[in-house]
Amino acid sequence: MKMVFLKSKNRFGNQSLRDRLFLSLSFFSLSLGLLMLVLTVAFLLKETGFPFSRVFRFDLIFSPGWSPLADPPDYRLGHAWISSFYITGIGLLISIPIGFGIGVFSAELAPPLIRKILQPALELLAGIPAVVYGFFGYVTLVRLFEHFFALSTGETVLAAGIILGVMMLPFIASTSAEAFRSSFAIYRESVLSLGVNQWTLLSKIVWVHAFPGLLAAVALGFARGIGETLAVLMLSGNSVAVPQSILDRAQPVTALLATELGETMVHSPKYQALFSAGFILLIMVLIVNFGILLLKKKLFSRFFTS
Amino acid sequence: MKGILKQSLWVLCSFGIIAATAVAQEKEFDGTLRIGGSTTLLPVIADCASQFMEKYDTWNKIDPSLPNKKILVFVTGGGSGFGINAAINHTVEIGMSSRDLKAEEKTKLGDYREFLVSKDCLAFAVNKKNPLAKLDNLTAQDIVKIYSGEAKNYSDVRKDLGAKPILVQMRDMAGGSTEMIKTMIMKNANFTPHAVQVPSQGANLKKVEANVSAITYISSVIALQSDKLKVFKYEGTEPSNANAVSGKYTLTRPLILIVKGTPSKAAQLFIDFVLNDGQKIIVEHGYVPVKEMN
Repeated sequence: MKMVFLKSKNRFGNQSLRDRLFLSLSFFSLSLGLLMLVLTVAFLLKETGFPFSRVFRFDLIFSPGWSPLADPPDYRLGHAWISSFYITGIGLLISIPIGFGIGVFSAELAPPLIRKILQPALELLAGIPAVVYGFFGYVTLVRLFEHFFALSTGETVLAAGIILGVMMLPFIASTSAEAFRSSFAIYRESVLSLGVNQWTLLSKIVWVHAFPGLLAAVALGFARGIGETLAVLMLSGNSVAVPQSILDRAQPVTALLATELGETMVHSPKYQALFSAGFILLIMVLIVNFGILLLKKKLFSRFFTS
Repeated sequence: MKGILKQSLWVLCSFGIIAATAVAQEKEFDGTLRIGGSTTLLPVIADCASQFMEKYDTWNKIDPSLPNKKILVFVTGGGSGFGINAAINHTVEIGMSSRDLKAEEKTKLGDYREFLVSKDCLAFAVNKKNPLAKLDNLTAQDIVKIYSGEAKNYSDVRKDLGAKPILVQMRDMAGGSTEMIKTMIMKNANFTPHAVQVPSQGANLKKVEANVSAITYISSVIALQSDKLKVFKYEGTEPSNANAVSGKYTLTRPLILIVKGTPSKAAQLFIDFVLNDGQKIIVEHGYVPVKEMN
């Protein structure tokens, strides 16, 4: 970062004071943003009771048993992690095939008019507030499940997973569309001129080149899904038992935090347990996001050079 | 929405005010009244405060002997323990508590007044189409069976109720009402992990109204207002307002305001307001009024 700063300084070296002021101001904003991230991570870690933190005790963090009112209370968070991965997994299963389908369609196959409508429509879908998705799922899917599966309640892992899939869809679709588009642009003309049909072009050549982009799309969807709170809170049933099937109730980590943190005594063991869950969630999402950056950079350049 | 904004504004303001009062205390009456404590009472008293301020505007309009100063009532949360302690060291003038005072708190308070403004009363309720609705009374034993998960189907409660599965519904484990059920009925038994936890009173009502297999505990005032719900007697007693106030119905906790020493004129006026006009607000929030209203 220092290098970039120096380089730009040279570039603007002969410029007016105003330019230099602007440069240092924007650099200041950048550092402020980065500092915020570092401080958030540090604060969360502190609240987990670091260094005697539960964060590094896998048996406490990932084994089920949550029962805060029992005597002695049990603050193991396994049920929440299992629920989170279960629901996000179902969401990905639903949104990956549909999202990639939309990606290919909007990148190559769609007529220009439809493409023009599709992109803003996806953006709109991404902009709908989570509570609206949650409410929509509650009045449609939950009722439907109660009726068709004869459940005592339709709030299930499946209902939450389906809605989460819809919520992840725009992210996966637009990121994969980007990857497909650049890949098609490189190979379309040369490959089609050899008399190869469109399907072979896609299945043999284009997707290989687009692969890092597709992986980034999935990672983005995952990061979005694992952090989603309100919709899954409304649809998962918020039960602390480990879900046994897709028609069972669950309580993802985010729902657990939203339900319990408000009235938990500060710095109590329960508070530290909840914060450790939040800390791990944050680290997980950070790793995934850095992963996306690396994927996009490293793998793309590898594909270009070889 | 507007109400929430207003409330949170007051709560925010009050933190600053409390900090300020720590420095400048026991000065001439400046028109502000500070209240703090139980988060159960917070929304109720905050509503009372905003109506009080709207109705009277300045103190001398209620009582000419008071100065012509704008009425400012600040209400903050913090929990019952905080409310009582804040009343003890005079950080607030009126402390809010949703439990009885402990012996040590009473000694610390010394000379104090306690005003019972309302009671929080819980009742067990099901949808009228629920198999359990045939019954009229639930015993503590029934509740423990249902809420510990020992009874999986309604037939496990009473043989003739049919094998429909029970959907146990509860408030979140951090909430005050769950604590009441745990200490008053469940004792050593634990809640079944399969219970559906609802984070708010409103969601609790809507869910049990919509679901024929669910059972829940909910504010008796709210439950009795719904025509879709069957509300049970507990241990043979009806959860009526009269029974709650008299103490005959046991699933209750007191909601009280505490003042150390003799309340100032301003504090007394506000407490009177809560005990009269405020009773309507208390019912709106789902708590039992201590005075009969017409």
